Amino acid sequence: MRPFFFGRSERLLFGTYHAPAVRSPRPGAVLLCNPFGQDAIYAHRIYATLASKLSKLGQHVLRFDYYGSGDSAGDVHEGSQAEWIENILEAHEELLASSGVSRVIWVGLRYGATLAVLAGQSLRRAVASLILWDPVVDGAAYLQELTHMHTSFMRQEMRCWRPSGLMGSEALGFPLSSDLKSEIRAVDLTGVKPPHARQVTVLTTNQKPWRERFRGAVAGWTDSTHWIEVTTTSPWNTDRALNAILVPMDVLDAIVARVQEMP
Amino acid sequence: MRERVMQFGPGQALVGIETPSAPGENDRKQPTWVFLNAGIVHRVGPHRLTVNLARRIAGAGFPALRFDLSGLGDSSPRSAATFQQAAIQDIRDAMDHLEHTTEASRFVLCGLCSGADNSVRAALVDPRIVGIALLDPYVYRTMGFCLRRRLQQVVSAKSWKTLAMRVGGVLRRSARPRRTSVACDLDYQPSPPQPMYVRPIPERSAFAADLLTILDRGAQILVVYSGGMEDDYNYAGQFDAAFGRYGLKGRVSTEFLPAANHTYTEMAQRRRLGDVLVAWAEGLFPAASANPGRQVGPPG
Repeated sequence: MRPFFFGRSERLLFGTYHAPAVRSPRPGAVLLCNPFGQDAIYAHRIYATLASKLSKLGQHVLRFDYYGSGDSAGDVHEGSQAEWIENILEAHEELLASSGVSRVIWVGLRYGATLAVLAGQSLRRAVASLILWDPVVDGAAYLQELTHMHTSFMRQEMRCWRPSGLMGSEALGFPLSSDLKSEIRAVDLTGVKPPHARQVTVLTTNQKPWRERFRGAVAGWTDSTHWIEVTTTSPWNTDRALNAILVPMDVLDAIVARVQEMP
Repeated sequence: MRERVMQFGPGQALVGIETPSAPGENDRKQPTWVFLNAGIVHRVGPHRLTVNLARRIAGAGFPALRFDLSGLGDSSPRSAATFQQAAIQDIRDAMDHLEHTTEASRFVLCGLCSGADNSVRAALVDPRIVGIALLDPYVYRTMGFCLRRRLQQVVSAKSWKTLAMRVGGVLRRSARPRRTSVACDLDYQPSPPQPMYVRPIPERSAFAADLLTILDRGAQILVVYSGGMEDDYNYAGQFDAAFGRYGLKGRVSTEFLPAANHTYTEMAQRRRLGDVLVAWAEGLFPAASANPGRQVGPPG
């Protein structure tokens, strides 16, 4: 495992590269795309576990923090959805350079899956596969969910907590600027240009109202689409799960299986 | 100003990020702040708290390191009898590394919750630690706490509603109502969910003795309690009241931030905490006060 900074010198990104942990590695690499805000904090152990499993199977793996998040430079309010999409493309190039392989799979979780879809539209050469774990399909609904998560978390934390006039301007400690909210609100993955991916897999752990519409849209992206519903997964994006070291191994096993099935 | 990755300890197994102090500051003469994990959250901290604080304190002229203790975040586990012993060795490895790679020789440890506990343990055994900033360290109730808590219950609409329901139920059963206890009984309201990891609380006298040992060798201590500790800490003078008889009153800097929750989720509260840390650091080490509050970090 090699932690390092990469990218444009004035806006450095933090990444962790996992080299294949086998003697005869498979010629493939996996890029892990973080979710947004506190979800990324919750996902750290999950992605570290997934990266370790994949490297033991011979994959090159890179996980990284978007600009203004994690250990990367800047603050969230200085970033934007457009920049985070660019960050995925930068990380992709970095992974190609680090690994020396050309077959790359992207894995995204929640908003990270959404960013991966949007970034995939700009690729010159298609990735081998996109694996989307509970992607944010409806941006407006996601914003409402973030506000609800913030409110319910704070009410649980402090009996006397009351929403302030700034309600909606931050989500669990991460700022939501007007520009960022506009970008997120405009997200509708049921009506976007297809990403450049030879294969797309959607992993869902919940029943969302847009499910069938999205399924139909994904079917039009590529000839090879897979829809996997995991119903027994343990929740991962809560403080309780974080403190209990809960990792949804059923989902990780499904992702690993998809990666292994790639030619 | 550019942050850099640090790997150190046995087999380079420990991972951290160093934040140099702001340009123009004579940072090598200032103590380096070392930020510890809060519970089992990786070095970025809950809601990115640790990154915010490390960059804030570096902006005030103090170099900073945030790193993962062994077995947490990106750091590999190490063999040690207990996690606590491993944590102390990890912290000493971090300071050794900073001594070798920078000119650092004095250190301030800062940690939330278990990070505060580990700060105390390390400061007891390593004289290079000249200060510890403890966020929600162990807490002990006082009579003042109980009186305020009882007052809160009296004025709480929920309490009256609960009492009315109890009285109603009692009258319906034609039974004599129990007298309200005057003891500090907090059972009437459910506590928020507790973290799943175990945080053993030492006896008050033992904790006081530890803090006195650290103070007596010349190190400084700041304790900051958040409103997230409302079930055990509810007024600004509670620390002094709790430890006055042990000779700690006035020797420890204290702050109470009642609007903040335990992990400083909301941005305004994180900024307030940053203000407190910077003010304390500048008060102790005034040479680095030229640029208070300036944010540093990787370019951006």
